[in-house]
Amino acid sequence: MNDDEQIMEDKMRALRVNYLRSLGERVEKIKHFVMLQEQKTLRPEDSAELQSLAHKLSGTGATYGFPTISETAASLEDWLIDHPEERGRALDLTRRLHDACRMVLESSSVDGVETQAVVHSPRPLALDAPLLLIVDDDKNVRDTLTQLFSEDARIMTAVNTTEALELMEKHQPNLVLLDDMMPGGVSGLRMLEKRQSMHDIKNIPVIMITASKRVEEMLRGMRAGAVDYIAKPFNSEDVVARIQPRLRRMSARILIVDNDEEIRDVLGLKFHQAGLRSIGVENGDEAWEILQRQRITLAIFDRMMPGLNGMSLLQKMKEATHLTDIPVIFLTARRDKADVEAGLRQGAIEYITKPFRSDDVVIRCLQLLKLSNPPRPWRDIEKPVAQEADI
Amino acid sequence: MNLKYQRLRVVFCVDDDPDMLAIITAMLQRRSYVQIHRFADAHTAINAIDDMLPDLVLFDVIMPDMDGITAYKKIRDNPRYDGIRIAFVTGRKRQACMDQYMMLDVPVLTKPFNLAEFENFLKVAL
Repeated sequence: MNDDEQIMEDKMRALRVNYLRSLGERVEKIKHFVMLQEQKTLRPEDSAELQSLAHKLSGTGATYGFPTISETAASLEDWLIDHPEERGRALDLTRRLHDACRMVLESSSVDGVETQAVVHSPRPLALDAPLLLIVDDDKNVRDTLTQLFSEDARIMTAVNTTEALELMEKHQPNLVLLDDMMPGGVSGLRMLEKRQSMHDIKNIPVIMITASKRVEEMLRGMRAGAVDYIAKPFNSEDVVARIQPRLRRMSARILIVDNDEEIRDVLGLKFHQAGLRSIGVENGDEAWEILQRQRITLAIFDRMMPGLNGMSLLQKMKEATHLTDIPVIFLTARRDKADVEAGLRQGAIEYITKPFRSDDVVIRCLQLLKLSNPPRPWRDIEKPVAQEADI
Repeated sequence: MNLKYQRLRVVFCVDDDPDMLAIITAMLQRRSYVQIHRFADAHTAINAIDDMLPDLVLFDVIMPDMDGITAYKKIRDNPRYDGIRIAFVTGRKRQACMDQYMMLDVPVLTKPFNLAEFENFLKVAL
C-alpha cells in the first residue's frame, strides 16, 4: 500500500469511528419512531424527520462499509415517498432499519479509538480508595466524570462494553458508570443483563448513564440490575450529589467489636448492602490489633467482652493520639442511666442499647459520617431485599 | 501525475448531511490541487460563488430549503456562471429522477458510493 492509500485509509477509519459514535444517537431516534408508530401517534413532522434520517443513512452507510444500513434505510425512504398517505404504517421497515443499525453498532470494532489508561488523580489517593470505571464512547462525558470524581476514587475509563468487561474482570472496580449505546460491543443494557450470569463481576454495582429521561429506559436499567442511573445531559452538581456519597462510603471502614457472632454478621451484611466495608472481631484485644494496622473510619463496641472490654478499649484509644479522632459507638445491653453516662463521658459519640434494629444502626452511622444519600424518589429501589433483622 | 502543471481547482461541496460532506472531503483531499469549500445549504453556496469562483459545484439533490435541481437552475440562469461545472451527488436512483438528470446533462454520482466510483465520477465532472 502506498502512502497516499495509507493516508486515505486512515482518514476513512477516522470518519468511520465518528460515524459509529453518532450512530448510537440515531438508533435511539429510530427506536423513538418505532414506538410512535406502535402507538399510532406518528405526526407528519415526525415522518418527515424519519424520512430525512433514512435518506442520510442510506446515502452514507455503504460508503463506511455498512451496506445493510444503506439498503434498509433506502427501502424505508422509498416506502415513505411512495405512500404519503399511510406513513404511520412503515413500522416493519423502520424496525428493520433499527435492527440493521444496532447490529452494526454491536458487531463493529472501533479501531484506532484512543483509550485512556488508569488516570492519575491530582491528589494522591490511598491505594484502597475505591476504583471507579467510567464507560462511555463520548470523550467529553468521560473527561467530565473523571474530573468530578478524581478526588474520591481511582478512575479507569473504557469506550465500549468489550473494553469494560475486560477491565471489570481484571480489576474488579467498586463501581461502574455505564453508557448504553456505544460502538464496538453490545449495548450497556445488554451487558448489564449478561452480567448476571458472569460470576466474577455480577456483584459489581453499576450505574447506567441513559440518553433519555424516559421512565421506561430508566426502569429497564434498574430491572437489569443497575443500582442507579444518570440521565444525559446531566448536571454536574446533581451527579456529584448522587455518586460522591456512594464512593465515600466505599472508602469507609467500620470496625465491629462484639463477641456475639450473629450481631457481627448481621451488621456486616447491612453495612455491605449500604455500600460500606466492615470488619468484625470478637474481642477488645483483636480490635486493638486492627486499630493499629488499618485505617478505621468508625468503630462499634460492645461493652461487655472477654479480655479488653469496650470501656477500656475506648480509654486506650483516647490515650493514643493517632486514634482519638475515630468516632466510637457503644452498642450494648447495659442500659442504666449511669452506664450510658459513663460511656458518653469516656468519649463515645453515640450509645445504642440492645435490642436494636440493625437498619437503624447503619442509618445512624451513615448520618454520623455524613454519607447519607440525598433524598430521591427512587430511593426505595435501593432498599435491601433481605428481611428485617431485629435483635 | 505531474502536479506541476495542475491548476488549483476550487470545488464546492453542498450537502446537508455532515457525514456525506466528510466523506467527499476526505476523498477529494487526495488531490493536492483541489481546494474544497463545504456548505450545508445551497443558498450559502450560491452566495459564495462570486467570492470564490468555483470550478465545480457538487450538489446534493434532496436538501431542505433549496434542492439541488433548483440550485442548478439558479446558477445556469446567470450567464456569468457559464464556466462553472455542476454535478449531482444523489441518493435518488429512481428512473424518473435519472431521466431528469439526463435532460439536464449533468454528471451524477449516486450514493452510497465507494472510492473508485468517486474517482471515476470526478474524472467526468472536473
